[in-house]
Amino acid sequence: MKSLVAVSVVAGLAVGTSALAQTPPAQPRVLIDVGGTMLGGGSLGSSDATYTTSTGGSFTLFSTSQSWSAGHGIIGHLEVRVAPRVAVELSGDWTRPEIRSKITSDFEGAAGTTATQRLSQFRANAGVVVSFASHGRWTPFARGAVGWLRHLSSDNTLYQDGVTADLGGGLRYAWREKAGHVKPYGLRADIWLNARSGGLDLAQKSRIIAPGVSVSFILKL
Amino acid sequence: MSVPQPARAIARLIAAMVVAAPVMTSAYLTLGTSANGRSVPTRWTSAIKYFVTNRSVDGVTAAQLQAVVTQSFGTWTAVPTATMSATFTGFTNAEPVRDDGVTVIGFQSHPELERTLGVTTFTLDRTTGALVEADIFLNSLFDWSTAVNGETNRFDVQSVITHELGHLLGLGHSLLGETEIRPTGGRRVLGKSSVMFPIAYAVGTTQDRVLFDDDKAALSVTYPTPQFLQNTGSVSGRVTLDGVGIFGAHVVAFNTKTQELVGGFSLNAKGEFTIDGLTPGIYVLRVEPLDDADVSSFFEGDAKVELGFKTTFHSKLVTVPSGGFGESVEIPVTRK
Repeated sequence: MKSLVAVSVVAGLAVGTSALAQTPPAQPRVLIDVGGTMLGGGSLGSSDATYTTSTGGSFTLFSTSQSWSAGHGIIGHLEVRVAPRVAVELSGDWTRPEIRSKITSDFEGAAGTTATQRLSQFRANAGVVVSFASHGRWTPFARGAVGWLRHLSSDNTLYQDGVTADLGGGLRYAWREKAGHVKPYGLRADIWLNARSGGLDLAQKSRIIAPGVSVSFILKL
Repeated sequence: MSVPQPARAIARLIAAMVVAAPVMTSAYLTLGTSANGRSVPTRWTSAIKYFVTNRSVDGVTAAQLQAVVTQSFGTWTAVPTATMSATFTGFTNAEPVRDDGVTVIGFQSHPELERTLGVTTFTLDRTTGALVEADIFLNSLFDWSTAVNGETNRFDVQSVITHELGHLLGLGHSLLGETEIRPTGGRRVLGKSSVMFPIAYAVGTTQDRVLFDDDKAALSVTYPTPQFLQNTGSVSGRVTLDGVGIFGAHVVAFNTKTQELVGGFSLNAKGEFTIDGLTPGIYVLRVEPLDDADVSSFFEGDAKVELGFKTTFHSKLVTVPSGGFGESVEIPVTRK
C-alpha cells in the first residue's frame, strides 16, 4: 500500500509540472534500447598469507589487497509503460572487469606484483522507471532495479552468483516521434549507483558500491 | 634405510621429525612408491590397528603416551573430508621399528640421533603401495611432556606424535614454513602452516597439536570422501626457467578469501605440478626454491632439484573449480 502511494505522488508531481514544459513526443508503449556500459569497481580489503609462530602468533609470508576494476561491456533495457509516466523494466548487461590482487611485502623478497584475471560479469535486473516532465525532446527519468548477477572465470570453469541493485536516473532524447521496426528512436543515457554482493569470492568482504553509466540507442517495437 | 623382503615385495621407508635441523619439507607431499612402472600412493587400505609400548620415560608413563596417541589419531580422523580409522589394540613389549607386521608406537633411546625427535618407519607392499605396518618411536634422548599446556624445557608429545602419525598415514613433509639458521647450527622455525613441516617448534610449544589446511588437504587427497572429490578442486601447471621445466620448485596456492595455504612441488623434468584438495575459488600462486631445508629430506638423493631461481608470484589469479581443474598455468621464474 505504501509503495502505491509513493508512486502516485511521484506521478502526480510529474503530471503537475508537465504543464510548464513542452509537450513531449508520444512515448511508445514498449521501448527497447541497447548500448554500451561501464560498471565501476572497488576495493575489497586485504588479506595476508600467514604462518603460525611457536607462540601462536602470526608470521606474514606476504600481503595481498584485493579489488575489482571497472568493467566495460554492453547493456540492454526493455521498458513496458504501465502508466503515463511509469514503466516496468527488465534489463541485462555483460561487462568484463578484472579482479586484482596486489601482492606486497614478501618475506623472501619476491618482487611485488598485481595478479589479475579478467572475468565476465552478467547482470539481469527488474525495476521501475518513472519519467518526469519532458523538456523539448529531453525526458528525465528515475530508475530503481534489483536483480541477479553471475561472475564467470576467464577459463569458464567457475561461476558464482550474487545479488545486485541499482538506483539512479537519466535522460532520454527522442530524435524522431515515430520509427519503423527496429529503427533508432532516440538515445538514452543512464547514471546510477550500484550495490552488489556475492559472486566470485575474492575476499571476506564481497559487497561493492560503485557507479555505473550507460548510453544506448532506443529502438521502438 | 630399507629392509627389502623380495618374497612379499615389501620395502621399508623412514621419515623423521627433527629439532633445529633441516630435514624434509614439502607442502604437501604424500608418500608414494613405484609399482610395475607406475607411481602409486602409499596408504592404508584397511583400518589401522596399533599397539603402544609398555614403557615409561621420565615425565611420561605408557598410559599417558597411549592417551596422547589416541587423542592425536582423533585429530586426524576428525578431518571431515577424509575417511580412515585407527584402533588401539593394547600395550606391548615389542619394539617400534621392527619389521614384525605389528604397528607399534613408543619411546626408544637413540643417542646417535641427536637432532631427531621422532621417526616413523613403514613396511609396504610395493606392488600396491598398501601399508602393511608402520612404527613410530619418540627419541627418549629428549625430555618429554604430556601436560595440557606444555611444559617449559620439554617437548610436547602430542605435537610430535601428531606429526609422526601424519607420516604413518602416508603423508610426507610439508614446506609451508620459514626458518632461520641458528648461530649454533641447525634451524629455528619462524612460522609454519603445517603440522607436517619437518622442523619442530622449540621446547614447551604445543602449536603442532592442531592441523592446518595443508595437512587436511594432504590427508583428504590420500583418503578422500566422495564429497571431498566433488567439492574441492585442483590447480596444475608448469614452472619454467629459461623456458625449460624445473624439478622441485615449491608452489604455494593462497586463497585470498579464506587465507587457506596449500602447496605442492613440480615433480618432473617438465616442471609440472598439481595441487589437489583446494576450496573452489580464486588463488594467488607463489613459487620458491626449496632452500629452507635439506633437499634430500624431500627427494631421492639423485634428484636434480633446481634451487637457483628467485621466489616469484604468478602474474595471473588462478581459478579452482569444484571437482576439477582450472586452466593450466605456466609460471616462468628467473635466475638468482
